[in-house]
Amino acid sequence: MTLLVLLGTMLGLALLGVNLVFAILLASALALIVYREYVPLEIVAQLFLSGIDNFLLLAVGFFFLAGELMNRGGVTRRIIDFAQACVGHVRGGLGHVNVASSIFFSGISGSAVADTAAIGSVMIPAMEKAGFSRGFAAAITQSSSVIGPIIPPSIPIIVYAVLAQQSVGKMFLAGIVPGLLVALCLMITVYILALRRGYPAGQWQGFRAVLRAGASALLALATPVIIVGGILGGVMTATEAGAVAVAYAFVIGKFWFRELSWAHCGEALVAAAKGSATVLVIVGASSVFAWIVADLQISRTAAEIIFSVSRDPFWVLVMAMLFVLLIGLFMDPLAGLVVTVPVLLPVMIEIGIDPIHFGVLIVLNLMIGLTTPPVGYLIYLSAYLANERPEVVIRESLPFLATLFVALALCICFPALVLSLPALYSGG
Amino acid sequence: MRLWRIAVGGLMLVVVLLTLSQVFARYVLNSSIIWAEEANRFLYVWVILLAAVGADHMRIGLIADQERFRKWLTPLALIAGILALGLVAWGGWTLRQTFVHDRYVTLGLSKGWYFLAAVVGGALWAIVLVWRSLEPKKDTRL
Repeated sequence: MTLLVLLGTMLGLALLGVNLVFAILLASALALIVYREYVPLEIVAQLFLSGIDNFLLLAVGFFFLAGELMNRGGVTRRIIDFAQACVGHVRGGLGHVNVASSIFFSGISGSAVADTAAIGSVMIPAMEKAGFSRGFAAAITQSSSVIGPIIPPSIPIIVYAVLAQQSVGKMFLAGIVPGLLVALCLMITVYILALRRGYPAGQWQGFRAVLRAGASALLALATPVIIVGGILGGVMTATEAGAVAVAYAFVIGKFWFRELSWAHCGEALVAAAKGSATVLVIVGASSVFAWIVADLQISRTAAEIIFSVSRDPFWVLVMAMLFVLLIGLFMDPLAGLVVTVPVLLPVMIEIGIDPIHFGVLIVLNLMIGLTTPPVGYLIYLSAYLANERPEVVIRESLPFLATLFVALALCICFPALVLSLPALYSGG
Repeated sequence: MRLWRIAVGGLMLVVVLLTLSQVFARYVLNSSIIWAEEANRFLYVWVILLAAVGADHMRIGLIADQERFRKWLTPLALIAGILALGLVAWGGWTLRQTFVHDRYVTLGLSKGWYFLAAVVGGALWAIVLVWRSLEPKKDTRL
């Protein structure tokens, strides 16, 4: 019942167009008033602030800023050139380039929206010129953007690590293989579609071109290595790694590529602050929500519901993922995370599912929700960039959507895909 | 608006520089800045709450943006926003009164400043909400 009141109020308000932050705050406040009348309401403000006041969350701002600086510093174009040289000659050419760019780009930015905007604005017109339909170009752009927040650095993964109290370094490692798996699956689908529709392939430009494009993209591609290496090597905290990434992005954009102006830096600072504010107010509101979930023992209810169907870890995980998917259809990934993790994580731990495995699955699952109707803003963003109707983009995205679910299913069935790299690190 | 951009961008810059100096101090100067973490967290709370005032926040426009519902749902969203922010700002004010004599351990700064962020951020954000709703035609984005 309490679960219903809390989630119902929140989803209801959100669907009526109330900003998600306010929906979470008000639903939590209502639950407090109804079920815990002797708890003072000041606790809402206190928990909201303490949710934001977390050293690890500074990393969110830094990764936003690094991405903004890289984008303005001319890195995007070099990354796409490199992807072109690597996979442009395969049947379905630019479709593969699009996916490969998303892989490389994911190492710089931590957000799928940034990926779609940056890659889409360059790739969609290029694909159209090469004979792909606009709908297809938009569909592959938005579907491959899912890779961004799976491969480190990743803002949703930092938020999960904070919510679930897991190591950011290990979570980052855990995302690498699933991210590449998603990319591989998407490329196979592009290949099959390209064969059937006769989409063109580009020219193989030779290894020298790969090396040449690689050399200028290398500086950008080194970012994730610095970040993950720095964290796992014990040299820096995740937050400091973020700040170092900012400095790095600034130096290569300003002094190496020489495309970054001071005005760009100012814009990037404000954009990063705004971007992190949208994320962190949700995280702040979620700490009020999480407190109530814990206080009213709502995850017990969830556990009872789930366990009444099955106690087999595999099926528990499948049910949890279906629930998350349902939430993800309507909610932004971050809001989805802060709503589902406090409820589901205790259940997962009780049944013996690794929180790192669960974390990667939940992030991947919620990201898929970003590419689906009714509330997937990647669809609208890519449709806008392609100047195509959203319905067409949705129809063209269906094969990719099926592909993404295959990748998710593989990660559910084979935990080793997620857990091998972190285990290797702990073992060695 | 310009002032707001300078404040938000400037604070963000300070946070970045402070974190970098912390890394630099630890590895190059072999001594860490003990007050850096507290200062950073304190400033970051301010960055976030000030930036939130002008940021575009996540919402679901599926139903609310349809012409026939908009008339009813826009005021609802506004009232919900004011209520939620009122709760934050009022709570922040009460907590400020209570904790004004508490101090940050290494900064020596009163905790009142920390809770003040909720008051200032919440109030400004609510004002901007109302202001935007009064001038729907003009682009009032900061």
